Amino acid sequence: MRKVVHKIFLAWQFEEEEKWLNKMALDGWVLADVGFCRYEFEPCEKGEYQYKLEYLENSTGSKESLNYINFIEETGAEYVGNYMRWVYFRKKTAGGEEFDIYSDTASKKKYFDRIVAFLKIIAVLNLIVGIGNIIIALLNHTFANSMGIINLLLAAFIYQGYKKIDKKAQKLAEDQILFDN
Amino acid sequence: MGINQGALTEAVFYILLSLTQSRHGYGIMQNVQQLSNGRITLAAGTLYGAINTLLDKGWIAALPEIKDSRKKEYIITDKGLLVLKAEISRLEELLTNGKNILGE
Repeated sequence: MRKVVHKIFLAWQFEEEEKWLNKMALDGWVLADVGFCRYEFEPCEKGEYQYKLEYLENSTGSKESLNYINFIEETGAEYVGNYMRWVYFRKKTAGGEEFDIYSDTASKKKYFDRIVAFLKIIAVLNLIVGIGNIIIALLNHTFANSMGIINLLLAAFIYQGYKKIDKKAQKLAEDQILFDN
Repeated sequence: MGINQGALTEAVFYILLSLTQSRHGYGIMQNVQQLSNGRITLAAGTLYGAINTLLDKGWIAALPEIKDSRKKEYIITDKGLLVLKAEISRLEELLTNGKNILGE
């Protein structure tokens, strides 16, 4: 019997999402399929799996991404599904070992930087489109600025997500000065 | 590339050392764990990034793919071996100085 849960996680809440999926696995529900704000679970042994999310460097269907996913699977993890460039991996919990995709500061920082760059682009795009829409509305002497204001609010909202991940990336950069792993 | 190359990361050092014989990705992970007595667990994404960088640098090479096997195997190149040897000299210097000054 499958169970479908609708839940929203924003792009900068991927760690919270992992925690939630791990908790579901602890309760005996393993993720079988994933879509837009939609999670489909199947029963499993309690705590059988651990999850990791990743934001791919290349588009999902590309040769590079397929090679990458194949490589991860060779190491004993399973690819569960994706939502846009976000991919979901699970691995059987074995001997209390924590499932990680990145094991040193440099590679983890590079990964966070990738997410930071993506959030930055979306925030800046919303800012530009927002200002553009407001200017157009002013020039046309209409007061239909609402689209522009929505874009600006979105830009501000995404910006705070960007700051959150960027702070984590900066913390890793500090660690890198002292240690190489 | 002389003695003055930068320090290798632990991951790169152990990956190069593992590839003195041909291994695939998972084989490298297992070997590194064994060599370090379980201290270092290389995660797959980190290893993947390192392998690609090492291939670009020409420090390792991919072996021709064997039929019916999806797993790619890699081996260290002569260039990689030189880098590894230079790193071992650098580590020896650190170790000797450290021991001398601390009087151990």
